[in-house]
Amino acid sequence: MSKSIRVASDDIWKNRVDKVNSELFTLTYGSVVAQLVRDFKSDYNKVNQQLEKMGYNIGIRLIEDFLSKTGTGRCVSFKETAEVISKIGFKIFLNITPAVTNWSSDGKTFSLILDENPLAEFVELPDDGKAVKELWYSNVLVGVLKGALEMVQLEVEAHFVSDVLRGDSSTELRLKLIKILKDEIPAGED
Amino acid sequence: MTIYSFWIFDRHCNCIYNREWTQIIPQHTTDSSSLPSGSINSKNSEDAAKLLFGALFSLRNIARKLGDGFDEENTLNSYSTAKYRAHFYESASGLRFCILSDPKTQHLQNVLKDIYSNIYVEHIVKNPLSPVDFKPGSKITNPRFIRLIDNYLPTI
Repeated sequence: MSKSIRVASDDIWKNRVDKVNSELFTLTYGSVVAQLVRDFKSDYNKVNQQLEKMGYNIGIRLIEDFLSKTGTGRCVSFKETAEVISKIGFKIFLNITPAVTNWSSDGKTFSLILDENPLAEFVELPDDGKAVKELWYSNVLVGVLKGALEMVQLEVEAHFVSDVLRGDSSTELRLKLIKILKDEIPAGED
Repeated sequence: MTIYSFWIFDRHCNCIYNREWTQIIPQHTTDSSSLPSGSINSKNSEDAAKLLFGALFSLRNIARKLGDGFDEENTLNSYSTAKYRAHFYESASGLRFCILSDPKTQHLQNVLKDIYSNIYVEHIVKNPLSPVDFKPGSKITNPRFIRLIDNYLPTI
């Protein structure tokens, strides 16, 4: 099954998505982050929050695009969700396939290792002693994942635990399933 | 083949778009300006919308409970009565699309999927000024969307 997922997502990436130059995207994102840093006067925690919020709003729209292109139904397990996120989601939108690892024993938490990160190309964090400790440059991804998963009834908690930009050896994004939300049912006549 | 009406319900179970045609759609329209008359968004909060939603919702739940395999979920595609047939498509994000047609019409699943990916996603989701999570009582009024649906459905 994981092989067929890969073939399908390769096909979608090649034939069914509109693409833009990745450098254009990288630099646009870069200017958004730079502007936020300026707006919040280098309060990096606020920048992280804002990026996550922007990501959330992107995610709740992106999921519809994702579903209509891939035609995937609801996943039966969180393991399958993880596969779909890394092999289809990241593949068709960013053309990367992060590794899924570090499963917790209850199967509710896993990590995505981003070997290459198109968002963070050409990036060096400012040398003010704070950014390296506080800023999660690609935090928009956290919001995107949260927003998109919430629309398919999965409430997750996501955060970065390491980033090569901060001098870590890898970029790791950790996802934790909080709960599966219930489908809404029509209001009764009472 | 005749299409009577078209409905979209959002994840909060509200009807966000409703198109009803009062006259039979001509099979081969050559003149696209003579679109069939009817009403748009006039019955979103009426009982008809709620009843239709209820019927689809319950049947979908029954279908799920009765036919669930281990590998794939059983889904409701359509049901028909003596007078009409209801075609149903639900996205994983909880949007539900429904077409009511005459009972002889077969398989409109592809049509519904097409509307979802080529019209709804392109002109509602990718339109930053349009909401994606509809508030109760709000509906799709985007003229472009309405025009595309009206152009598309008579051609099938």
